Parts: sequence; C-alpha cells; structure tokens
Amino acid sequence: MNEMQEDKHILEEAPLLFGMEKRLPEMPENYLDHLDEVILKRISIQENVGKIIGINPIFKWAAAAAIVCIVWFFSMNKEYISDVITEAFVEDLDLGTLTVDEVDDYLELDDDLMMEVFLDDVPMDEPSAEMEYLIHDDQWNDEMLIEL
Amino acid sequence: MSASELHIAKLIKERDLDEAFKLILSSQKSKLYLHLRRMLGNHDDTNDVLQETFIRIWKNLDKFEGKSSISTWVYRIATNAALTHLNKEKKKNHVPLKDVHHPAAHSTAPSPEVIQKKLQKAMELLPPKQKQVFVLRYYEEMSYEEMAELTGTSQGALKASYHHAVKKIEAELRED
Repeated sequence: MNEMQEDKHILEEAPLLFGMEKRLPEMPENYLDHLDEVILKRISIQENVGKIIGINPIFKWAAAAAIVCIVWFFSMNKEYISDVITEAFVEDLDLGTLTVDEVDDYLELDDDLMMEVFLDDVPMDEPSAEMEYLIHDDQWNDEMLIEL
Repeated sequence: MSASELHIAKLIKERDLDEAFKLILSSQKSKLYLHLRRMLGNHDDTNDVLQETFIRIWKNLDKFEGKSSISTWVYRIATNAALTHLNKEKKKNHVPLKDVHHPAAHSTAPSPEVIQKKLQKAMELLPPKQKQVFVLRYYEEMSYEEMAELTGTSQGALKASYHHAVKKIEAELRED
C-alpha cells in the first residue's frame, strides 16, 4: 500500500477527525515580534555571565581549590567511604550479621545487580519496528528486553 | 535545502554565527511555535520550550555539519525539547489549569468548538512520541520519509504509531 492509499484507508476509519477543520493555534498579539528581542537578551546575559566567570581570577582560584579539596577528601577517606556505602547495602539487604568482606562477596553473586551491569554493557542492536512501535505507544519497558 | 537555508549554512561554515542565528530565528520561529504549540497544548509551555530551543540552537550552531537541512536540524532540537518537557510533565501528572476544557452542553450533534476541544483533550492523552507523530503527519502533513529522518525511527513504526493515534483520537471524539 503506498502512502496515498494508506491515507485513504485511515481517512475512512476516522471520519470525525478528518472531517473537521484544522485550526491554527491562537497566539498572543505581537508575540513573535518580541520573541527575537527576548531570546537575544537571554543569550547576551548568558554570555556576559560566562565572561565574568571566565576572566575573574578569584572564581578560577575558588573552583580549582574546591576540586583539590574534594579529591583530597576522597583519597584520604577512600576506605571509610567504601565502608559507608557497603554498610548501606548491608542495611538495605538485611545482611546485618555479615562482615564487610562477606557482603562484598554476596554483592558479586547477586543476580539482579549483575543483570543491571550486564544490560548496561550489552550494546543495543537497531530496534525492530515492533519495538519502536511499542516505545511510541508507551507500552515498552526494560523487562521486555530480558524476555527477548 | 532552499536558497535561504544554503545561505545560512554558508554563514555557519564561515563562522558568522551571529548573522546565521538571527536568520534562523526570523525564518523558523513561526513554524516552530505552531509545531510546539500543537505538541504542548498551551502558550506558556510553548513559550518556555521555544526559548529553550533557540538557546540550544545558539549553543550548538558551531557544531552544525550540514548533514541535514537547517529546518530538519532545528525541528529535531525543538521536538526533543518538547518531548523532554512532556515526559517531565507526565511524571508530575500535571494538567495546566488554563487549558482545561469544559465542553458546552449540546442536544444533538456537537458543535465544531466542542469537537476542537475534544481533539485537544484526546491529544493530551497520547504518549509523547505518538503525539509527535500525529502532529507531524496530521497537522504538518510531513511524509513518513521526512519524519523518519527527523525522528530516527523507521517508517514502518511511524505508520503504525500514526494509525494507532488516529484510532485513539477518533474513539475519543465519538465519546459523549
């Protein structure tokens, strides 16, 4: 079926829709006339702010100092932060009686977590027409990928 | 590409981005407003997304490579901005109060006004990507080939999506 024939077919199925007038949306008076000015002004403001941040040495120094502090904090407290995160997992999974090392081992064997990592790493082929349609119709969810 | 689009592409290549942007703004704003307004349903959201679209166009103008036409490129940016907005609104379950329609009472056949309002309501119920396809095909009469280039979706999926959207809307229009 070519496009003309398809449209005729759809037309016959939807007489109300295709029998009505296609109206232009209403727009406030002179809206488009002022739009250029508004947008150019916004761009100008953004650029000026960028210039201030760019050339002001205090901002640069502050940003560099903040980055150094953050990196230092994480490197000095790597083990502590790792323990906090692992303990959060322990609480979540109700594994309070296990040691941190045992929890690490548990996490490696957790199928759900492994599947999440696996799904992120698998490159997607081009989606099929069916899959694209389901996405368009809001029926798609990631569980279908596992089923496929 | 049209002559004016070729001229804009040339300006971009020559790095005269200010002039190129002003020409894009003046030539595309009306078409983009209508497209976004049909996607989003009300003026306020359209205004926000339209401004956001042109800011994105400005920021990415130096990256335009001329692989597609200027109008396809800006349409793509606008549509993505609209879809992002619709998906955000969907999560919030937000219905803009200004555009909530209250159909007038009617005894026999509904008036054109009532049908138009029903159409707006029916479109609001479509999933964002399906709404996009419906707007592009029904209102803007874009071919499936052009739509496929714009959206990166196959023609087959677009046809199925459009057909489904039409059926849903027709069903809504028939409801009392």
